[in-house]
Amino acid sequence: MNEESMATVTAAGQFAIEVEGLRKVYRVSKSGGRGRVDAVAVDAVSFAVTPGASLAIVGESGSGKTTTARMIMGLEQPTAGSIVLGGVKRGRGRLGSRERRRYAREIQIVFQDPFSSLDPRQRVRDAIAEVLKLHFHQSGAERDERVRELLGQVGLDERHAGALPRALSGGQQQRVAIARALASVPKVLILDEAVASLDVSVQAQVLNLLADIREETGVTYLFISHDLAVVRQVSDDVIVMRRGQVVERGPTTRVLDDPQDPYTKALLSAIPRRGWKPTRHGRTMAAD
Amino acid sequence: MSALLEIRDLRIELPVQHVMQPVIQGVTLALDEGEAIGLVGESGAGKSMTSRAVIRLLPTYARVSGEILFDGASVLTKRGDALRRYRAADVAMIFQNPRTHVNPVRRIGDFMTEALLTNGLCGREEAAERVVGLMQDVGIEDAPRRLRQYPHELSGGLLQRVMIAAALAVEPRLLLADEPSTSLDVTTQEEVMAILAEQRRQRKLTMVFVTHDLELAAAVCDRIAVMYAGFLVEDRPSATLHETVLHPYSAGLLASRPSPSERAKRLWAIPGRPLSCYEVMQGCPFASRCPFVLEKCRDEQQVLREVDGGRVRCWRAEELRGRLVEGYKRQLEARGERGEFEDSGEHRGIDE
Amino acid sequence: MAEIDEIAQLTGPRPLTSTRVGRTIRGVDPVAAACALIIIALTLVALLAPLLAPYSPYALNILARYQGPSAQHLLGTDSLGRDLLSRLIYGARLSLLGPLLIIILATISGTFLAIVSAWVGGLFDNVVSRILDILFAFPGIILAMLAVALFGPGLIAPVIALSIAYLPYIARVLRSAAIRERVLPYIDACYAEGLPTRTIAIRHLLPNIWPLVLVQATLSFGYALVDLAAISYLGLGVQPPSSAWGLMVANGQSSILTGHPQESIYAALMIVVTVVAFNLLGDRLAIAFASEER
Repeated sequence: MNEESMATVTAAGQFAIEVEGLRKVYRVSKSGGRGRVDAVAVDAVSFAVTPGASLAIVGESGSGKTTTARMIMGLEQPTAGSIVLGGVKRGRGRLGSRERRRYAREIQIVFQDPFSSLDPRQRVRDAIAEVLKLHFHQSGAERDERVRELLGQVGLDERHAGALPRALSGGQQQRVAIARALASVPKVLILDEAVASLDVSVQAQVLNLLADIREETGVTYLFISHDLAVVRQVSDDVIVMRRGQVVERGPTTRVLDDPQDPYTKALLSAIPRRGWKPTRHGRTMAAD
Repeated sequence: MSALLEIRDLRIELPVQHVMQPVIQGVTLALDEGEAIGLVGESGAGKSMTSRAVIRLLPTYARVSGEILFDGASVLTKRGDALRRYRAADVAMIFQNPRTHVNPVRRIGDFMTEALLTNGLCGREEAAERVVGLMQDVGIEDAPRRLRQYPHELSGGLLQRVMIAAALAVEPRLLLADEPSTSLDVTTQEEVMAILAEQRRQRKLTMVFVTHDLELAAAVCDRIAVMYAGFLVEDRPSATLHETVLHPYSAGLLASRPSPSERAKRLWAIPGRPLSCYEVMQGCPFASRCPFVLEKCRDEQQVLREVDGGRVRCWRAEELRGRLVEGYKRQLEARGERGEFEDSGEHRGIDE
Repeated sequence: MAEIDEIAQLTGPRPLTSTRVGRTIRGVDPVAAACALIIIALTLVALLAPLLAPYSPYALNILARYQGPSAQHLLGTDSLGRDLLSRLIYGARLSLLGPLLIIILATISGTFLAIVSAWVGGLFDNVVSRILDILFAFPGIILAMLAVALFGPGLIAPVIALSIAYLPYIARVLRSAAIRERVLPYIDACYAEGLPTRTIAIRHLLPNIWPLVLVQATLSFGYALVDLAAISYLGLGVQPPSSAWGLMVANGQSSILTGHPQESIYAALMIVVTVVAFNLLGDRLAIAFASEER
């Protein structure tokens, strides 16, 4: 494992996200039915992200990257370790409504499957208005205007505002999810495989959009992905995770041009690209 | 060498909101024995439908017209025994998600030897031997133990290898692989694709490989057939794909994909979204998203023509040689902010 | 990484044209529509009974007993000369009201219990599930008989008893639906937005599982009707001279052997038609909602 300090502290002295010794353990029944055993999903993960930066967490299935993201978002409780958002430490245990509402102004998340991340019975404008109503005191007209503004920011208009999710394409649905996430004006946006389910041409559009939004609003990104090409396009720094542990970290350009860890090298060499041919490495398969 | 598989003017209709609509139109292609073709496209392209039509796995309410010939004999009119034999011994299919295509309450060994035994291709011991041999070929360790296991005890990658072995067990002449590695991790994907490619070459199998990943298809297939909105828009050898690509859509696909070795200032995205066959009114299916669209594109439907050692469905193909990526760049710049999300309506090409 | 189903992508939800269900006419299921019409008609009959019935259901006329169908009595008369048609019409009120009350009570309490249990999970969920298991063990009629033994015959005791008996059926279905729905990303998104738990459950979860509630309620209505009719038949429900259909079947029983089966048959027929209509409608609704799913 390569120790490299990768994020410099800003003049104000505060990171957008600071994670220390994060750990998540699940108790699962052993196959065969005898007793329970501890499954470590995330093991001693630490990192820090400067405000306005974009950190990618890369790994395959079982790496713990999604669990890490969910813990930072507050959707799962860590077994150990600390999470500090914008200088404020997150409490242990399940959060109450008031706390959750406060965190919603700090950090938001966009999920992998756009359709199931939207309430199928809620129209687009209502989904976004709901968030605004919760966090801001606005008149009805102000709220409508803000909804229009948010939708415009992701390239959607009136026609989409009145639609139900199932009437929209995957790319449009994901953009609605992004607009909704931005509605509470969070300082950090987690993108959990947010482009993985999209068609290639649509993926490119959304990646461009995310870059634009970061430039316009200065929001910090935490980008979870298994796709190194996407990671290159969208992040400044990267952490590579395997089986719950960080195996490599550093600026994206350095890690992808000159990987140190054998796992990172394996990931890179497996990407289909011009001139590439798949080769058998006789690797042992992950836990069967 | 005559073609092993010939698809002529294939058209498939499915009910969309209670009305029959075309989802594939005018698909024509031929595969020689031992050749591998990659069917590449995004949502709505119809690539999966095409491969399912070859093995007659379409839903009963689908309406199919055109012709599919396997070794000279029509596939679409096969019935009863002839159809069973065709599916059992001539052609085999590998699916995207192995778990949903395997019976969870039967052991691996039963599943793998089933096709061999029920079609009387060999006896029980021989079937078991053949199967163990195949499992070793595809890199499954401790094959005899695996035979006694149930599907849920195997990981996704391992199960997919089992599926490949099962498909090869009946020694088919044609292999249809429908997104076989899409649900796998990228390192597992490489392993599985390497095995597939190796086995195919060794057994001189003909293969139709359906995928959304153009680079992956180019790496394991001899030819690439790009589909869009139910139409075949380009068909050319994969070795020279990057140099000789002629259709604006194929070029757009190649350019949309980010690269792990460098960050593009901006990805040259194709505007709009992938359409389905029935959403295309007339003329070229790609007209509503093409940077080079002209009036003629919208009025006349184009045919597949031989150009530069492959086929392409674009009347401007020769003219656009070498200009394709440039065209996307210029269009993106011209459209300005959030312009790449434009839906079909007001689309204008750069030459208009 | 996510599975791609091209057929579903191209065609959207599978149309209702499988051979099992039969064809639809422009997307409307004719069988379901017919059942719905029957139910609406019955409801109207019950509501407008005083306007529709030619006679009072209590009007005796010993001289006119056991008459066959005639101009004055369209369906004839019973053993006490009362007009059968009027008694059936007024009977609709009692026979439909009882099940309605049962379903409403069972649905409201069952839904509430199911959602809270699915949401809170843990020990609470365990305890509730075990209580539901115990309730499953009691046949509704036994429970109703027990209630009548304790509180006397009538409408109230059996209705409350049957509501308790039907509660677990509704709660079980809704609990699994709630558990399934609760782990979907859009619920996570609501959490992330900072919405209070109660709002998430009522404004987001409930609307997405209420079709199931409707189906369960519709199907259970038929069973509740039969159970209540059985209670009336046994003399434990509403008492004579009221004309609940179950009661009419009992009353007319002795007349069957003497060659006058009309009362029992007509009443039984009404029960059957109503129950079949509800069951078929519930079944069709279940299919329609299932095919609407993502």
